[in-house]
Amino acid sequence: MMGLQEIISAYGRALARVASAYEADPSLQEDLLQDILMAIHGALPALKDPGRIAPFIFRIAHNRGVNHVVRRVADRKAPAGGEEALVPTPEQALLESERSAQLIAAIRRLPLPYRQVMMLVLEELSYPEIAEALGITTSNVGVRVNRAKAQLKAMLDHE
Amino acid sequence: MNDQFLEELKADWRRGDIDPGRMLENLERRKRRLRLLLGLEATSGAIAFVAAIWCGWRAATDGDALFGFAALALLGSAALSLMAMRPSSSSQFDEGPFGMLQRTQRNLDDLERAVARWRWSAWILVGCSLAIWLFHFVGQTDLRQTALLSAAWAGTAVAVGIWSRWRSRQIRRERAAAESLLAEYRAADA
Repeated sequence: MMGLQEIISAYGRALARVASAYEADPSLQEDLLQDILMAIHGALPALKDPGRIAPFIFRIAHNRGVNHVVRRVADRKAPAGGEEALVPTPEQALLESERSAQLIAAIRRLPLPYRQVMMLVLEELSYPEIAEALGITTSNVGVRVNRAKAQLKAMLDHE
Repeated sequence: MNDQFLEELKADWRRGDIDPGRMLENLERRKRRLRLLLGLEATSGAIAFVAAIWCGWRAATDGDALFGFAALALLGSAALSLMAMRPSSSSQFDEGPFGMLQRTQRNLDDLERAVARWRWSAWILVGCSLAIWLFHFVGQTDLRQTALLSAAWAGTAVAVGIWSRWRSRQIRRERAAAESLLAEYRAADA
């Protein structure tokens, strides 16, 4: 079984990107990332098939992300996705170069179901893996990916 | 729309770097903090339990009602510490976000009921703070101790009442947020 260090080496960057797509505020983004990593660490013993670790990890990450959005909306703070980062952490500054910053901002504005499939597509997961991670059918994945791409293209062309 | 668009997105998405070493370091720090908090919770629970036993013994041997009340209050506090240490039973890995949101709503409903029970339990404290005056009037407790305990319990009851109202409002907002996200999921596949 993979340890936390191996998980971070293999998926840390991807999980940081997931956190950045759910939360724009750098300190809350860091909290969310740690929350995701803790949840993965706690859930690892339940992983039945080590060959299916990617959908397992991303499922937990997105579930934590959704939980985060619920809490943020309920706290009546600024929407978790909408605003630009104010004070980037060093890693975020590296992550958010101009074009990627535009992309992350656009992804944050997507409705949650489209945001999730898009992030998983960008992380190179296959449709069956995305379906497994999100608990939907592969045909649903296809529909959401097409709609997400169309909305993203419209947003990025507009900027 | 061609796949070149997607390939460009992938390149932009993966641009930049993140230091996994720093990530692990932050995580270890958080784990240490959580272990410390858990340790403090366990210690305070153990102290409250031992103090409750001692107060209970004093109440039984001296017949002092104040020690009896204190034993009950300390036992309650030890039970709360144990509840706080209970591991989370969340199963964030066996369902997708939609199922998880539905479960979140059910959990919030349960939580709201639990908060309502807390509100009712505040009335028990109000009852206790009145009862101790009865004990005082029949000569079981002295005035200073009675006034002190009664004020502490009544104050706690008021605090619990205010907290439970605030928490209920927050739960209702979380429930509404979960509902609006569920609506987004339903609309996504329509």
